[in-house]
Amino acid sequence: MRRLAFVVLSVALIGAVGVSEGVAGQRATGKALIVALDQSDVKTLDPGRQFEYAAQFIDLNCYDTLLASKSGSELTTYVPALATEWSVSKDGKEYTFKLRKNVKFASGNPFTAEDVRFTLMRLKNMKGNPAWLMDPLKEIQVVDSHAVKMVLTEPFGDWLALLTGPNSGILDAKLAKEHGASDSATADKDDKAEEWLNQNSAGSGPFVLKGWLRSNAIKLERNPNYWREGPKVARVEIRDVPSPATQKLQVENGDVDIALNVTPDLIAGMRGNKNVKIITGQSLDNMYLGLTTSAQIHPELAKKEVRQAIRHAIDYDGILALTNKQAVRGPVVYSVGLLGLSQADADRLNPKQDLTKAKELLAKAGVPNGFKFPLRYGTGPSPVGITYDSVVQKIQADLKRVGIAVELVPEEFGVMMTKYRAKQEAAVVSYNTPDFIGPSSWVGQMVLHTWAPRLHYDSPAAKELANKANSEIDQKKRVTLYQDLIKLLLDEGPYVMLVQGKVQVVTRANIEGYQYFPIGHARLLPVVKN
Amino acid sequence: MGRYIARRLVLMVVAALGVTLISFFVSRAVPTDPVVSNLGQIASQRPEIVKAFREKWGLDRPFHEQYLAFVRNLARGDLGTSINTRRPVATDLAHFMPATIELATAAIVFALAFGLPLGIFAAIRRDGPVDHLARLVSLIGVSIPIFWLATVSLVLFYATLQWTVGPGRLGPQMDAPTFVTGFYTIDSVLDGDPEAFWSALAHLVLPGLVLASSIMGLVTRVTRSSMLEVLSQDYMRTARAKGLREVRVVARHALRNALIPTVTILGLAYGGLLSGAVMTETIFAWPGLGRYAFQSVITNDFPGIMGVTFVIGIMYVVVNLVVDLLYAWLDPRIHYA
Amino acid sequence: MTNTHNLRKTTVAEVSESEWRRVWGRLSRNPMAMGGLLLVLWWVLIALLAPWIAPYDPIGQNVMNRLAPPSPEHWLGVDGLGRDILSRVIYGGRVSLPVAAAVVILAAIFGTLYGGLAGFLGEWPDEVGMRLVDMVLAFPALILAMAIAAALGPSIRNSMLAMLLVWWPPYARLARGQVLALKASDFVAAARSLGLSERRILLRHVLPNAMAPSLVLMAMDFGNAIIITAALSFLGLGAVPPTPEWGAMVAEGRELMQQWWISTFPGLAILTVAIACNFIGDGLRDAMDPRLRLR
Repeated sequence: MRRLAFVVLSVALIGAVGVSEGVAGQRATGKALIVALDQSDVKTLDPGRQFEYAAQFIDLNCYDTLLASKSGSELTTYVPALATEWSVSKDGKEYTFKLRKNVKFASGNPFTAEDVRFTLMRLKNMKGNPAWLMDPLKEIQVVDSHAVKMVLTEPFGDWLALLTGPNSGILDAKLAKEHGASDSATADKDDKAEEWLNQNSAGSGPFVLKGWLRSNAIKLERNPNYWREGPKVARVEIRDVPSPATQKLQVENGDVDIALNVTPDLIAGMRGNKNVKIITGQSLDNMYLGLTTSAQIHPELAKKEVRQAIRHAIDYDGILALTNKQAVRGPVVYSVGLLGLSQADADRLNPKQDLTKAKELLAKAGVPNGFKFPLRYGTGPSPVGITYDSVVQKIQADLKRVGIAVELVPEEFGVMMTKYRAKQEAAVVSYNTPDFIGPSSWVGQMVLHTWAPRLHYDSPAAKELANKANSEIDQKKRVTLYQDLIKLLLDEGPYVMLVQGKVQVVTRANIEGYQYFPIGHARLLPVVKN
Repeated sequence: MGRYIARRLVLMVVAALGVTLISFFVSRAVPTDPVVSNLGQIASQRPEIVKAFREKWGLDRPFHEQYLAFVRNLARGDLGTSINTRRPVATDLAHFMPATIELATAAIVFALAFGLPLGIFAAIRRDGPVDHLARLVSLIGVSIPIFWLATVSLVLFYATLQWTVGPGRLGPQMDAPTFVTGFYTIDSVLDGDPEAFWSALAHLVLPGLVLASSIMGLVTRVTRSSMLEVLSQDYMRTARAKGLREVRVVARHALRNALIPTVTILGLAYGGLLSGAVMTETIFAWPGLGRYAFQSVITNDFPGIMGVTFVIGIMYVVVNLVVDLLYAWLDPRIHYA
Repeated sequence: MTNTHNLRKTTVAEVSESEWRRVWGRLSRNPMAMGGLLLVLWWVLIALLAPWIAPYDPIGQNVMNRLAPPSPEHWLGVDGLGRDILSRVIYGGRVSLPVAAAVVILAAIFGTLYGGLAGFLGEWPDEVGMRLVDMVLAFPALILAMAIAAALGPSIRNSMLAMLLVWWPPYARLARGQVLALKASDFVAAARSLGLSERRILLRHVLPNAMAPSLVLMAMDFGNAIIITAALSFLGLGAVPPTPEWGAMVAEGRELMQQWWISTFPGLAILTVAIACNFIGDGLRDAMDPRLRLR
């Protein structure tokens, strides 16, 4: 009897292996587009609440905004989407939008101005993670069924940029309200639509959300009522694959069509493989080194010459080598590709490694023999494709050459963030990803709020420049102002810029039309699977 | 016997509560503010957003109140809502637990399928080549770091040799079967979907074998040593003297008693598998309990942590109870009062 | 009186000593166990002599030559920061081996004392004590370790602490079982009848004999401890970079499948040490098995 059991088990085992070989033979040949994406940070897909990478991807494809960036390389040129034309008042506080007629949501409900009003007020009133995006908004008026007027509290140069983000995707108000959505002043308590919106979309975009199995897959289907020519693929399945190496194997084997998280080192090993294509896009994500300017926390780092010295001591090329040269670098934490900072500008303004100058600056600051400081950073991957781990070890080695001893303090990322926000750190290595694609996002964090207070950087001159540039409507004037600000930051600021990653996406050779976009990965509308 | 089970069940609940007490202190110690892992950089600076978040999750109440609220809800069968996934912890567990249990069961099946016969033959042909092979295999099995084996086997068998399917629970084109038990193998049968069934089975092979490697060694060794012990007993000599064929002798008399220590080891191993498959689950993209537990810990998802540790504690105790009952069934000399 | 006292001492002591010598005799005739012992000693030697035998500085970076495969200059290849893997593997032992040893020894000492005491005292201290052991055993060990490391921050010291907290219960259980068996044995009855105090009996007679199975467990646990230390570093909760530690090195290579040497060699280091320890433990178990004595 026992022997029989043993025989049965062996047969089952051999059978299973045989089956898996057979199943392995069936590759992804169906008409659905299979995408591999790390979804471990996703908490919700509700456009009014989400603020995570993978969720942005879904909302970018299921919802339309009023206007959109022309392409991944022309981010600040806008083209009409749900709005056909717009104008700004002279004082910069009033924006009027004419809306597109004869557009239907995926549900069949007609798109009107009320949907715009509802969406933005809900975003603001739910006080969720992205609610602050609507801070400049004072009120929205429905002028008629296809026109809205937005009144801001004060002029803001990036208001249009805010409206292009996936969080500003317009909801089907009627459908959403049926499922508990609310835009009331107490929407944070009244709105009950989150769970429904996690499994369904209420938008007008090219795709419709058909379901989300956590840690497993998100499914999208083509929107039959799309107001433009619809997507070429009928279904999209976005599988949760947290390991980049696994994604590489899957795309090489043909089990997935598009892999979004493959790291630069893995990609280097894929060059020459005829079955895959590597698509490179410039991301706006940064990794930077932040140094405190407070003498109480660290007297040496508080001296601006010391910070300048550190900027000159780091081997930037070496750090870029860690990314297999798949990265660029701006002078401060302001991304290349934004208004006022082209690659040529960056090459001009970037500090260069110069050990002699670094030592001179240290001597001038009164610490010719160096000093030491603790450097805190988070364990795990960063958004720029290489780990913090490798970069900080490089920094430690570089600074040692000018006599500065860096003590590495790794911590679990959440823990590191908590301490960083508590404003007690001498030095951190952290990241930045765009909240929206407008220069004020970076400048604001560098100078006005977020990082500046954590590093005790409080400079009236910088703040004045920043505010002026942020509220300036004339784009040309903004360019000059931002460049002045960058120069000021290079002189006295607390930031040492390390890496601005290029993003590399791997697709099968039979996939066409994939174009990288800095927020939300990509629009899948033009993608074709041959 | 009934009274014994009842008493053990009561102790089980007590033990599980004790486990939650430990988790309570542990999650108290983790200095991650849930606000950090849930709100973006700018959102966490806006007081009204932070306030709305804290109120929503009851984080504005003192810690002991949160714990008491947890226990009170527990009595009602409510495990709270996870801050990470925004849905009831019970739902999270209902989805992630079966995935891990399915994997653990596959591992046990493989371990038994290889380890049991190996151990038996090693004992029968003691000091022969099979015995030495068994010893070598089992010692190597318990010495391999699982995270390393998982990575290497995936590259070797999936990427290079293409002998097995890839990571995940199902093939890339397939829909998950309708959720009844959460076990893809069972649910796909209930759905009447043979393709999903075979795919689910195929996806269990490699991660199951990887996990099995560590316990297979134990199974072999323990089976062998207890078989040896039993084979040398008096009643065995009597059986042989009675003239029965040796194989029947082994099967009927020896194995039953020899299985007792094996059952213990398996019981302990099951518990270890259930709680510790973090690395295997990450490398194989397996949406299970280990990964969920890890995420909860590092983001200080208090309800998540409490729910997971409570449930794992209970599972452990249940497995122990089952093991003890199996003891009694296997060895009629053992009685529980 | 003095004479009898000496006699007592000698009798008990002699029994233990000759017993140990017999165990060693059997162990030394077991080729796998001796092989394991040699392998462990070899690793210890390598770790001790690291500064003299490692060809390169284990934390010396050479970013321009990163991810180079094994070659005559770098026998085991080079990692993502251009560091020589052979040197890092050699130095890695200096972290993993002492940590594992410390955890096992401390856990064994604490666990044995705890369990021995519980068994010896019996009744409610035993009940309560063993319930606590059950509770700690019921707690998912890895999760506890992760939580502690997350709370205190990644470091070797904290991962040691985390491991200690979950490592001692098996020793407690084992010691308690042994003590209970011994308590009822003739051996202890004899000591009692000679008038020795309870404490004396416990410390000089019961505990040393209770430790025998613990030693087997310790030998095999050592291999396990190396693996768990590596696992914690693999998860980012152990050694602080740039310190070379085998588990952390495997983690670095995890997402770099093309550069198989980064994960493979440190993995082999862990594997060989663990195998060696298990061989020793296995041999020790056989050597101490009373039944085998007859063959």
